[in-house]
Amino acid sequence: MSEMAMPEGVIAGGWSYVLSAYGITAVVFIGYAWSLLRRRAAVSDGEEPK
Amino acid sequence: MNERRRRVIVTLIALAVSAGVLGYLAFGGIGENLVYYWSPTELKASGEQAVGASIRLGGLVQPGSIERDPDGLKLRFSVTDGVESVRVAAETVPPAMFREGIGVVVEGTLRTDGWFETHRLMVKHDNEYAAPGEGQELDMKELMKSMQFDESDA
Amino acid sequence: MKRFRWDAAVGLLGLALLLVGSYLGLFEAPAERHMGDVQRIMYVHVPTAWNAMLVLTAAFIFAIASVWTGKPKWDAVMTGATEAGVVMGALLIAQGMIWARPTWGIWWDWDVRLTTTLIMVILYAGILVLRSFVEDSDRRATWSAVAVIIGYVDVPLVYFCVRWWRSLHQIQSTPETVSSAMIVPLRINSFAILFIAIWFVAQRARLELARRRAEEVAPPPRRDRRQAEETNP
Repeated sequence: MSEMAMPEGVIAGGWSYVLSAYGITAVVFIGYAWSLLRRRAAVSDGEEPK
Repeated sequence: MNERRRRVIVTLIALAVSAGVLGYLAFGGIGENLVYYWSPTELKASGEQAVGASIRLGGLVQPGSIERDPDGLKLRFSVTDGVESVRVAAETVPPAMFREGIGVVVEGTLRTDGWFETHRLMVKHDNEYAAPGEGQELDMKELMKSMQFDESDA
Repeated sequence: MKRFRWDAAVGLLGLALLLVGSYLGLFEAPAERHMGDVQRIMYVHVPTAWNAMLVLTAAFIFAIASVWTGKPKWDAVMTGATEAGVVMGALLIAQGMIWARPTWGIWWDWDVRLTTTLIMVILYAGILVLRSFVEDSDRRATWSAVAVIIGYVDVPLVYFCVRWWRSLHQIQSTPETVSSAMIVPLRINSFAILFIAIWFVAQRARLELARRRAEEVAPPPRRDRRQAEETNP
């Protein structure tokens, strides 16, 4: 197209963003699962929480 | 029976309110007051009115229009909607994906000399995800669809 | 006493699929021709988006069933689906911001997709908070169900806004606009997060039913009731 020396418009690297996105996904899923199990264990309704 | 009827009525009212609000938002013409960015044609048509106000301009980067200062601080390019184009002066480092033919949304002000000055340059990519070597060539008409100029002209 | 818990099996299946799908997405799928490796965020972001809207749609249906029948089980699953929707919606926004920075060049902008998604999370979180203040279990069920039904307006808005109005966020991709090499990890992670979401909803519903049983065993202290009457004469 143009004869100018343009950057090719491609993202180089960026693995830190990828790892952050997967990391926050893992943290939220594990954290929420843990919160569910802990809250269930805290209720004494006479039934054994599994 | 009375309890049963009350429950049915509450359900129906809640559903009616829900449907009503959605219908109003979808068909009530709120979109006209909700223009996220202007097209170059709209910006030029508004004439003096648009000068000085903080607005967003959207379009594709015109191929062959990109000029960079040797020091890399100033960037100039044209934003086009296929009909009109506006020259943009950006004093910002563009996102890595910035290139000819990509969609951009720039926030800033229109100057009296017709240049659009921006400090916030955002890349608006389309919905295509291709592996290297795949995908369509630079086709401005096809790429223009991602700017949704037709849809929003309601 | 050990008995078969279907939801534990579904949750573990979801976890296993998520590991497989993420491995394929991170290491086997090709980089995108312009976005490069950053595009790999898609394999968690898009499934999170689909499933967040899906569980909130389930919450809407459960809310109708709850207010229609008055049965505690519908109130419990509605609460579960709403809370899962809030958690996944908040995660969705975080993932989206992380993806937006390298691609769009910004963390956030008030475009219609981002704004309606934020409204969705705040709205449903608000419903859960208000719900916790209502002591009477029948009244709590009715009012939160009505709020969930009306609040659901925002969910189709989140989906369709990018088609109806101009936005920074692109419209939905289709199988035609996504490289075939990217489809498999996307599908696997979509089912993975669906199964995990089902586990979330089931666990939260069980918790809600347990709390209700506990309330019947030991009603809340009188002091709280008097306070409630004072603020609401």
